[in-house]
Amino acid sequence: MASLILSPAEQDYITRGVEKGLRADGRGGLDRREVSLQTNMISQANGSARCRTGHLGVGTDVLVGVKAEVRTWTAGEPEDRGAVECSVECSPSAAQKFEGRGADDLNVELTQLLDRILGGPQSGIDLGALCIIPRQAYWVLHVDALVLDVKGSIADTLVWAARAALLSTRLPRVVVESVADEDGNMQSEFDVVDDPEDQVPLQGAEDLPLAVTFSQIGKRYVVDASEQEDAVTQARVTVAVSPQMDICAIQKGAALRGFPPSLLTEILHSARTVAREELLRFKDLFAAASAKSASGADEPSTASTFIGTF
Amino acid sequence: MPAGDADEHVGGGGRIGMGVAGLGPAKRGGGAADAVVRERIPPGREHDALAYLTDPKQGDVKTLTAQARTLRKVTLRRRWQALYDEYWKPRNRLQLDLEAASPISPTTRRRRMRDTPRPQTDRVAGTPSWDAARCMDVDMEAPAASVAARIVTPGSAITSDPAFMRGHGTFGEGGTIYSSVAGVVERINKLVSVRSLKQRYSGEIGDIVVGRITAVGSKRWSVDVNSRQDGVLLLSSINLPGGIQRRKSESDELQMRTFFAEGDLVFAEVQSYFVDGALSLHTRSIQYGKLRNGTFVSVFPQLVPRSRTHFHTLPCGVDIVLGVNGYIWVSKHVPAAAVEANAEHIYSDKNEPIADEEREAIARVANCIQLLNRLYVKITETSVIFAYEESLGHAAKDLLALDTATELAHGVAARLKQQSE
Repeated sequence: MASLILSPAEQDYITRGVEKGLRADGRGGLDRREVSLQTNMISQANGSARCRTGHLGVGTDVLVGVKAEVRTWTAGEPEDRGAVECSVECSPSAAQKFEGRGADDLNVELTQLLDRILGGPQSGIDLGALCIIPRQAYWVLHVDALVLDVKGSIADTLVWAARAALLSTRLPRVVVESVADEDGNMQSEFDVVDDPEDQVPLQGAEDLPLAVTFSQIGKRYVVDASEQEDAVTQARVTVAVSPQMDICAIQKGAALRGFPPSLLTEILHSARTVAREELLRFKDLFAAASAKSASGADEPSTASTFIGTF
Repeated sequence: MPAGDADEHVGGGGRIGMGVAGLGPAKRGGGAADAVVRERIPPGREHDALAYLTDPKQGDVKTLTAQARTLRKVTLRRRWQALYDEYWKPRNRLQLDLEAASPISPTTRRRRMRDTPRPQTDRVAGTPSWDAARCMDVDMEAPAASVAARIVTPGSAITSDPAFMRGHGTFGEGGTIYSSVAGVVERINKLVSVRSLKQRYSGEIGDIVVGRITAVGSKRWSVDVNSRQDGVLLLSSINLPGGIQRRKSESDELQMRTFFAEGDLVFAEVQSYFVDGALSLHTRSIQYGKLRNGTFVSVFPQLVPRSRTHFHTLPCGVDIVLGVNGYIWVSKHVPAAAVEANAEHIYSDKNEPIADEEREAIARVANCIQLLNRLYVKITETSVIFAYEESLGHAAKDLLALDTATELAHGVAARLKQQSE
C-alpha cells in the first residue's frame, strides 16, 4: 500500500515520534482519530451504515450494505445454518492506486478479513436462527462494502461500518407451516411476510466484534495509522475483539514483515484495552446515528456542513 | 438659442426644421452638432426630424446630409439604450462583486444598488455599461447577491446570452454556456469563467514552492509540485554542497541521488517555464534545498497567497515554509547562522535531535494549518499564528476533532475580522 513515498527525513521524524509516543499529528500511540457513523441510508438494503475515520470530518470512508436473500439448500452445505457472505471493493475514486487492477490485492485482503470476523460462530451472529427450514431453505446475508475514500486505517473503519450495518439490519419475518402432501407426508413450507413494519433484528448482532489494527513503526506500534504512517509501517496486524473481550480473529497485513514475539504479546494485550474503549464509543455513536435515521433527519454529512463556519 | 426655446420648436413635425436648421452649416457632422441634435430632439420624434432633414427642398443638401447622418447615429444610440434598459436592467439584481459578498446583508446591498446613480451608457452603442458588465445572470432566479448565488456545479447553465465569451471552467452547447467545474462564477467584461473550489497549482515565475522528487532522470529530477504536470529541477540549477561554484560534470551526473532521491522534499523557486508549460525550478540559494526536521502538510493551493516571504519563523519556535503550490513544510526552528555554517551538509537526510516540546509545537502548528485549510481560510503567517494562539487551550491532538475545531474556527474568524478592520 506504500504508494506514497516519503523522504528519509520524514520517515525518521515519524518513526522517532512513534517511539517517543508523540505522533506527527499530536496523538499518542493508542489514540484514534475521530469517527463518524451514519446508519440506514440505503433504503433497498436490509441494513446499511457508513463510517468515516479521519480528522475534521474527512478521511477513510466505508459504506456497507447488508442484503438478505433466501437460498435453497443444496447437498453438501451445512444443514441447519444460514450464511454470511462478504465482499469488499475499493472504489477507484478513493485513490489513484486503486485504478485498473490496483485494488485487487487489497480487495482480497479486506474481504478475507471480513469473512474471518463474520463468517463463523466467532462473529456472535446466531447463524442457526438464519436457517428457515433445515435442508431446505436458509437466509444468506450479503455484506457488501465499498471503500469510498482512503486516509489510512481501512480495516478498522470497514469493521466499524460492517458492525453498524449488521446491527441496523432488519429481516422480514418468515412464517413456517407444515402441510401434508398427497402421500400424507408432512412437508414444511414457508412464507416471507411482505410487511416493512413486521421485521425482526438480527439475532446476536450485539455480540459482533470490533477490530483494532496495530501497525509497527520502528520499535513501537500504533493504532489507526494515518496515510503517512502507513507508508513507513513495517508490519500490521488486525485483531477483532468481541464485547465479551474475547479475541475472535487475527489477520496479519499482506506483504509486510513480521512482528517480534514479545511485541505481538503486548499487542494482543493492548487490543483488549483499546477495544473496550472502542466498543463504548461505538455504542454512543451508533445510538446517535440510529436516533437520527429514525427521526428521518436527512442532514448532509459533516464534510460539507463544516465549511460553512466562515 | 436657449434650450427651453428649442423644446417648444421641436414639438411638431413642421416646426422641427427651425430648431435643427438653426445649427448652422459650420457645425455639420461634428461632435457639437451631435450634442445639439441629441439635446433638441425628444425620444420618439427622430423619424419626423429625419424626414425633414432628408428632404432636399428644405435647404442646403450638404448641411442637411451631415445633420441627417448625426441624427441617424443618435437614433441608433437611443435604440440601443432602450434595448439596454429593457434587457439589462432587470438583470442587475445579482452583483458580481466579491467584496460585496459577505459583510453587507442582501437587503442593504439591494438598497445601495438602487440608490447609486448608474453611469450613463453614452459610449459606443451596444456596449453594456460598467455595472451591466459586472452583473451576472446565472439563470436570473437566485435570490440574493452573494457568493452562494454564484456557486455552480458541473453542468449548471450560466447564461444563454450570445454576448458572452466562455472562459476557463466552462463549455458551450447550443448557444448556452455551462459550467464544467464546481466553483464560483466570475466575469471580466464579456468573459465568463468559473473558478473551481479545488484546483491544481498553476505556477508563475518567481513563486516559492515545496515539491517532492518523483523521479531521477538524466541531468534532471521530476518534482511533484501539485500542478497539472511534474516540475523539472535541472542538475544545473542546484547548488553544490559547500557552495562551490563550478560547472556540473559527468561525475555529478552519476551521483545525482546523493543530492536528491525519490521522495525527498525540496524547497525551490520557479525559474521559468518549458514550452509545454512544465515548471523549471531552481534551488540556487542557501535557504532553498532539501527539507528536514519536520512534517509535511498539503493544503488547497489557492489558499496560499503570493507574498514577499514564504519562510516564516513563528514565535513558538517553529519554522514554516508556505509553498505557493499548497505544499507546506512545518519544522523545528534552525537559526540561519547554523544553516550557513553547515553548508557542506545541505543534502543531508539526517534529522537533528528534536525535543518533545518542539515535536508538540510542530504537531500543533501542522494541525492548525490543516484546520485553516478545512475552513477555507487564507493561510498566511498571521492566520497560522492566530490559530496557534487560539488553540493553546486544547491539547494538540484534540484540535482536529470537529467540536473543538468549530469552536476554534469562530475564535480565528473573530481575530481575522478584527485585524482587517
